[in-house]
Amino acid sequence: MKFSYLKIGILITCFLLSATVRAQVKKVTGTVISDQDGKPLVGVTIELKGKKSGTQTNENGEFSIDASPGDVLVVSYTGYSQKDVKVGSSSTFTLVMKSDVGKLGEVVVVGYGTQSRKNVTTSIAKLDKEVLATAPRANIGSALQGTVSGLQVVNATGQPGANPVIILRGGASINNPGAPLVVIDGIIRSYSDIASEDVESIEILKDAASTAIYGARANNGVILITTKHGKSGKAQVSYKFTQGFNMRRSGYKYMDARDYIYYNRLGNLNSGRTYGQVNGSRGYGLLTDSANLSSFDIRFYNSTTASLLSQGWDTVGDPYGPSTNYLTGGKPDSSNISGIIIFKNHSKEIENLVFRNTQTQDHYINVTGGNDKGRYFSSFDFYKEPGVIVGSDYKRFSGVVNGSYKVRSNVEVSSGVTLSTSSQLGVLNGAEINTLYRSLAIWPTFNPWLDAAKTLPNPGNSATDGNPLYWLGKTDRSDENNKITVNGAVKWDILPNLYIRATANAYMNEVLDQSFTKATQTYSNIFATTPSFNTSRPATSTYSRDFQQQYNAIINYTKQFGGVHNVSAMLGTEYFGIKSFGMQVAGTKSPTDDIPTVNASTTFTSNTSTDPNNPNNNYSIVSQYRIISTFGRLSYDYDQRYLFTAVFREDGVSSLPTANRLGFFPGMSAGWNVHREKFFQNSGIYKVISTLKPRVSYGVNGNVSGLGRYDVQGVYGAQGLYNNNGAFLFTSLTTPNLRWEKSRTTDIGADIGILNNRITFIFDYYNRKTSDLLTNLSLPSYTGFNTVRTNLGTLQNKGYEFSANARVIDNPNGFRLNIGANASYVKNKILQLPYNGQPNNRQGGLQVFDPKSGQLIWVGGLQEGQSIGDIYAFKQVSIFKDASEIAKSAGNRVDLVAGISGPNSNYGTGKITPGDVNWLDVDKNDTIDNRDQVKIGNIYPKWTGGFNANFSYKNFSVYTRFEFALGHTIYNDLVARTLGNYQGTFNYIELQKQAWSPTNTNTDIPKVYYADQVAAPLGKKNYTRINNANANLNSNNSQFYEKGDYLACREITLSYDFDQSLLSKSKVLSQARLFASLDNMFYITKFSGPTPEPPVAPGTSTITGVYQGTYPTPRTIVLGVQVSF
Amino acid sequence: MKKKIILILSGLGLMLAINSCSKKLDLAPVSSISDANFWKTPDQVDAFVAGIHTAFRNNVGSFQYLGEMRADIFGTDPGSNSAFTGEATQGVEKLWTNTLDGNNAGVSNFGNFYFNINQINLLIKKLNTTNLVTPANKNYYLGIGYGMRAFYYFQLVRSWGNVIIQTDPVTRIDSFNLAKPASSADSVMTLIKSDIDNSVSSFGSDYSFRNQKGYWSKSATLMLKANVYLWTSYRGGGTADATVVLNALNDIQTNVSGLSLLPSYANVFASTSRGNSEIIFASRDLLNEASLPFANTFFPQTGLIANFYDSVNNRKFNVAIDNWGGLLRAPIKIATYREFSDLDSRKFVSIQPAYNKVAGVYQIAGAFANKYQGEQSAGLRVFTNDYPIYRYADLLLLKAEAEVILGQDPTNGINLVRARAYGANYNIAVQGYPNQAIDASPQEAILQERFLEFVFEGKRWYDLRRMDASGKYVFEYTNILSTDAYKLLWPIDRNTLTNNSALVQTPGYPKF
Repeated sequence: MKFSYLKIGILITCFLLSATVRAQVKKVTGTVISDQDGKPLVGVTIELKGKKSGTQTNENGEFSIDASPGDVLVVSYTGYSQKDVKVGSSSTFTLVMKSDVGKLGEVVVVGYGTQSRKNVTTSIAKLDKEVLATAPRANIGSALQGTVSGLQVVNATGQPGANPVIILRGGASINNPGAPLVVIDGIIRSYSDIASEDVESIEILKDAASTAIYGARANNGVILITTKHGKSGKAQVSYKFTQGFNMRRSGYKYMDARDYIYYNRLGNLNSGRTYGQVNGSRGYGLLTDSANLSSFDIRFYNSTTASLLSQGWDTVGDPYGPSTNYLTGGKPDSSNISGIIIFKNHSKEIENLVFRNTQTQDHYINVTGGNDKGRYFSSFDFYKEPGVIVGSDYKRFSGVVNGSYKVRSNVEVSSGVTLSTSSQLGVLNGAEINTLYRSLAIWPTFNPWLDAAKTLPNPGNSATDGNPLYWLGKTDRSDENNKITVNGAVKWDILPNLYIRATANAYMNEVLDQSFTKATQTYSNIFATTPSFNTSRPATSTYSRDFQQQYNAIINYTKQFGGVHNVSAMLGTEYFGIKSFGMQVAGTKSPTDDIPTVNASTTFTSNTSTDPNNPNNNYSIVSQYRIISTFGRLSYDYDQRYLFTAVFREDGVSSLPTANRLGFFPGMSAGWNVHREKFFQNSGIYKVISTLKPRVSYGVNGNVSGLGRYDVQGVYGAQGLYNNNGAFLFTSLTTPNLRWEKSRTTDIGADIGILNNRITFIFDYYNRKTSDLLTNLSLPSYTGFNTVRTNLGTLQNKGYEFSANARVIDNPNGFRLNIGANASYVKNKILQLPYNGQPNNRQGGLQVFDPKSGQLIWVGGLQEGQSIGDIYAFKQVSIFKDASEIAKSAGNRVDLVAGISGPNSNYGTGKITPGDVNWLDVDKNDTIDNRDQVKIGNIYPKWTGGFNANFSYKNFSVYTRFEFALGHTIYNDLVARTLGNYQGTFNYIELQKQAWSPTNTNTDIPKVYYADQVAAPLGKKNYTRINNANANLNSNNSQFYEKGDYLACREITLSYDFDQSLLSKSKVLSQARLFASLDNMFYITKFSGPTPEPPVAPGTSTITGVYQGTYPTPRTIVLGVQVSF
Repeated sequence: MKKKIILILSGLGLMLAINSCSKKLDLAPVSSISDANFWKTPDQVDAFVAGIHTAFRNNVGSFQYLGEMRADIFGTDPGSNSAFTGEATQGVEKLWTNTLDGNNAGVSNFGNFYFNINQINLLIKKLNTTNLVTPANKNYYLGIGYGMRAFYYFQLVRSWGNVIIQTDPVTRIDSFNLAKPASSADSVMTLIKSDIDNSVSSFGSDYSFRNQKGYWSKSATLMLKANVYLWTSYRGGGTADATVVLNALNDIQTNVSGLSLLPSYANVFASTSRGNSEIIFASRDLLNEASLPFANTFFPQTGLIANFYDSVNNRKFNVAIDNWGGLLRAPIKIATYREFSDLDSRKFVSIQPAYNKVAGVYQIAGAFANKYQGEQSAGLRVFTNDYPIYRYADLLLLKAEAEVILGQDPTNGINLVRARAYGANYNIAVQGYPNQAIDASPQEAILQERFLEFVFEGKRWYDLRRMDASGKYVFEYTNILSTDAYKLLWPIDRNTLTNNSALVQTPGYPKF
């Protein structure tokens, strides 16, 4: 193998070789203090310009260095402007460092190093510290919501501890959404289970010139998280306690039992269901067996049941009228002569069992300290958040210890360990829609309790159609996720300008899940003459472990030549390896409820999964993955005016075929600090524009994350058993020609500061073309495989990003107001898809009539030249008011979808009747079919962003943070599903009361029917259209596609810092702060559901656009206190 | 100078570190087998043959849908759009209402049959190019491969007419120009017949059954041969093809001992009598291995069926033993149930009627399939019945049908089947051929007998199709009108058309 960087490496190595030494004359001493509060600064670097000697201030801010007159002391400290001081005759100095507040002076982590924002020429965002300061966070990913331009962060679920979906610049993939690479203190790992207080900074590398340093994994951006490390100075102990009060976000209102019975029976009547059929239905029917009588509080009203009125029951007239209308067995049913039904209202009882208000607790303590030789940091966090949906609890313990020590004056050794153990259970049965739809829409006549004292929950018909407390009680679940990182590093300053740093780290992530279901019953089992049980008692224990090792070494050289040429070069190499092990034992038919572990099981089934990566039943599985890399960075600037940076990375990865294994990813960027030019400073404009840095970057990076570890080699996978014979088949094609995905990004931006940087703007335009996308090609049937992975996709994302910050009022001891805002716009376009012989190489999609051209056109699906995520559906023009309107506008209409027709047509088995939807006949051919669909919107937000404001006055401060997303459309399957009565017996939401009726003809809600999806003549398909009640995005009724645009109030925090004078009296406390915060208080949106965020397929990061009920993020009130000793 | 050397060495060291590591990137899978490591041992070949039977088993749902869901068995009863238990048919009704189109094609992607066809193609190729297994096994496995491939193509050609022929294994995709047109139905039929000949000659004189008749066998190939030639005899093959049918079936009867009708019709399907003497080939469903894929669609919800009565046994259904645990999407028409004579043991074995009891009087509410009762396991009913593909009654009735074509007397076969069905009630003068009214037309008699005998075994639609190329029996027995003759074939789902631009929609179905 040949490595193309070899030459570069040697050049850089040679470049480093020049260092001269001169004699010294006298000792110079001094103190460095801050301009902010006049306090000494510890650890300030003092170097002699152009020489190798240097020192740092001690814990009193004092330093001492040998220097000759005429030498220049270069004094630098993070967060402060660099200061150059000429050594004259004086030998003691008091140096006041000017704080470099504001966005344009911050230090940013850039991957294997740091840079000052002043020199940054790529697109890197840094998270405001304020965001992490207050609210307790089960997952730090939520801090990124609305705070970083270019990042779209979606709460896929409000389940505590869950990772949000993070998409950078619209994502770089057509059908394998990728998440940004997360690097925490150099370790590639998950960001879940990290205490937010442990985080020092979060940076997001966005353009390819900045992410190229992470090469093959950086296609979707890089999130760099730096945690807190020891600081020299007096030892300090901090403790923070926060208590959150979580409240459910209110959702749809379901009908009470009276309306439920009335509208469901009316729907049955409208659909022509017989008296027997309606009464044979659960919930609103009048079944007379013991199970139903015991579980459903609904009866005929007659002399026997009338007494129930005194026990809180109520009556409602039956739309079917008296049973005398319906002869059963040749005679009227005497039980319901009255035509009245008596019932008890159990509405909201299940809802109130499912949802609860909970309390979050977070205790955090840390200790830090050190001197000029050694530093240490240690922290411990306990976090507990019971979910607002019963059963979905999250708990975490985490601990950090790290330290560093200078074993020689030029050798520093550091090491650290982090540990976390967490438990995240999720809702029962895993599927949140079961809770958000089935549990809430459950029959309001169902009594969730078997006994009057409400101690015995009624299981209902199944885990999703009953009292969830029964099923929670029958399920014994535990979950444990342990994450351990260990790292050690040696930094050797060979010369003042040159160091080598070698790092080794290991990360172990293990998950242990156990679950056991006791013998269960349904309500019909319980009330049967001989009660029976389901005694399969499945027990499962699953263990998985990823053990990851990373070793890297970098050599770094920084040098100034001739006072104006600043050069910094870094070269490194890295080994990354991960070994995974997973196993499961799963048994059934334990003889007892008393042993939850698998040892009591008696039946064990072999793996029958045909996917070797996702075995089922009993298995153990191992796999490995490695990447070996070389990388480097060269930065040059001329007098901090002309800036240039080049980076590269070469990765070799084990999951690619040998011939295509190496990928080379370069990045280049350049910038111009115009404000440092004399001509600019001399012009009047400098008084207004204090910083102006246009910059441009170009780079290439890659991705292979969509590729399984051994996919390219082809798979012969186990197929379970056939008559006790083990079976194998060829299940995955060999793909020996696959190679890297490559993203090429051009980024043009500018950093602008106005009025001495009181107002700052950062702007970026980018154009990213991802080619060789690892894209699935759907194969023709005859090949015997559904899809093959190809490199044939190209996707373009273009967009703009803005962020602005302003210190509007800045009165050091009085009123201060800072405002920040960011916004980003993104547009996707598919440029290339794998060839399949179709126009635009279309995959999927629909054929609709295009009124402009008068032709049939293919829309939706994936097509070259089109964007992703467009929605098409049948347009509801109106609801037919009456027969005359139908005769007038749809007399000859044939609705091929529903199988019904207008009065003048003989087609189909049913008729269009008043209260049905008047569909838009796009091609005006009197036939409603697939072709009559129109574009409704797109599932992806176009604009995302947020803004914040920070007011402070004396010891009080208020911080507010808002987030928004605009331009996405959501298909509200939940509303369509309930109104359309797809399930047949469940409750309606209140909206159903607006349905068409002979007395309410002016409405946009169709007439009430039983089960919209069933065949004509009884079903009308007013809701689901061609989808048979499946939750598909396209081809439903346009009425139920809603704009998702929202503005969310993420945080409002009020805090009070105790006076220093007061604290000093305590002689113990050095800092104390009280705060109260309102988190996720409200969304301003037109979307009718509780959460307008783009719906995500559960357990994935794929935005589906179909809302089926999402676990709503709770509203939280937080109280907290933070003290330091 | 020393420092310079350190620098250069450390710089170069970084480079070398990688070169020495690059071999570390060659990783082979441990928990699966890569393409490079298969076809090395006899065990692997044995496991692969078991594999094509698991894949065959995975297709049983499609065999069932293609074989009878569009015929005259299933349906909601007039005036109802849901099953009698209240469960919605959820689109399945498009099969029996014969309203399929590209949106709802009933069976999509050609039943996923090409997955197994490709595996079989690979098996045949590897068997022909390696000598990993003993000659006896090699021949047996080739017999299975050719026979089963012919079975798949026979399903395809009868359902879609012109279909793509693929006989080479696809193991990698090198060109993305993958559009491939369908071959004519005639050439597919030629392939089927040549595969059958290859299968027969590969098996040679090996008439043995393996895996309790859970594996394809020479008898299975001969049954297929009889089916295929019977099909073509109505389509120009005439008596010559019917003779081939007779010979094939006689071949089985002559060379395979122990095949007979079981005295009890119910036992043929019971999970406790797998591979019984009546079975020739069945797809095996052992407990904890597999279960019938269509069970959920065919059987009612436990809690709902418990509201109904079984009039025959004069009892109310109860959740302990009538724990069907499904979601009845495909109810049986009451009319189907009533086709059976009460004296016919097949009636109650095949179909379970459900009644309401109103004022002490039973009123029929609906019916559902009863043939596959599965077994009880820990309070749950698991549908572990084998799915019969070929059995001895089929042999007898195919033979009778060939005899009719050849002008011979079909009485023996028909009456053997009827005698077993009626058991003690059998009176040859009443139920025996040719004494039933329907026996006036031997074809109608056989058609009806096959209907009663094989309901839920995926044969009815093909029977109606087979006996008249123009669709006469389809129009006679189903709701398809003779003006909609295009419905004799199935539509192709839209995705399948998209994925292969050389395919065209079955003529007659809308193209958009």
